[in-house]
Amino acid sequence: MKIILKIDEYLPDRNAVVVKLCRLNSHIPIDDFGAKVVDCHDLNMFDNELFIESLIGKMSYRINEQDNNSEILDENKPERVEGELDIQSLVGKVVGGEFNGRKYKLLKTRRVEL
Amino acid sequence: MIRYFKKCGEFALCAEIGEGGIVETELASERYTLYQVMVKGSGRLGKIFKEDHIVGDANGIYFADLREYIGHHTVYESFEPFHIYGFNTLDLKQDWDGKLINDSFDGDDKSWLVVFRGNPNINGKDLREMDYAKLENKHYNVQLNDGIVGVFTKL
Repeated sequence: MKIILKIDEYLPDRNAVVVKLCRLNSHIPIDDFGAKVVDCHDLNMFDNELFIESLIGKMSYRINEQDNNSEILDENKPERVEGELDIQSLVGKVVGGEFNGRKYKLLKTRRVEL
Repeated sequence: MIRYFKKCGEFALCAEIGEGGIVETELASERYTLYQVMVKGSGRLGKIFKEDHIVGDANGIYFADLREYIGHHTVYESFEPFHIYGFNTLDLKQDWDGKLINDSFDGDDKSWLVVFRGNPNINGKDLREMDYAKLENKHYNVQLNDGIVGVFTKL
């Protein structure tokens, strides 16, 4: 995922920046996203590159918020699928899932009735 | 180390599989594990910057109540190749009682059963590792067959 950000203002008295952030391939201009005041005390201040990297790391949760607040096209609304694998039954369906990055893989479980 | 995770309705199950001699940390903000079952290997878990720790060993002490570790950064050191399962709450305000069962028992509709190892037979049904079931207010006949089965109850 590639992210862009724009520092609208630097607040030296607070050691904070006012930041807008969105996906690089967003179809909404970055200026149309809301700005957020971010304290710099826990950011990497060594140089510009490391500062931006740590700022993106601190603000990246906003991408999820933007995604969650975006309208979902009716055609893209997913249906949930469960049970034994039947690839044929999946053909043509829009199904949903969560991508957890490389940190977690999906644990295989099975719900049973006793 | 490979980490696995799956939401199962009212709770979540996780697993960690890795080699011996590794050290892994976990942030307090990511700790939702209330109970842990060690099905293979051994290792120790402690709060970062504290001397106290607990030892898990699949051949002995394999069930641990980790609720006191919620809200703390933790570090895990494996002594040998290991396989751990965890029972996780989805909401830190929601506490659960957890225990392993050794025999037949009376269930209730606030509880869930999870198979952590082996192929136990419960009420005539053969189960396998990582099967789980919502319990009802009735009796459950259990043949463990050397399996490890936990029952977790919403408090």
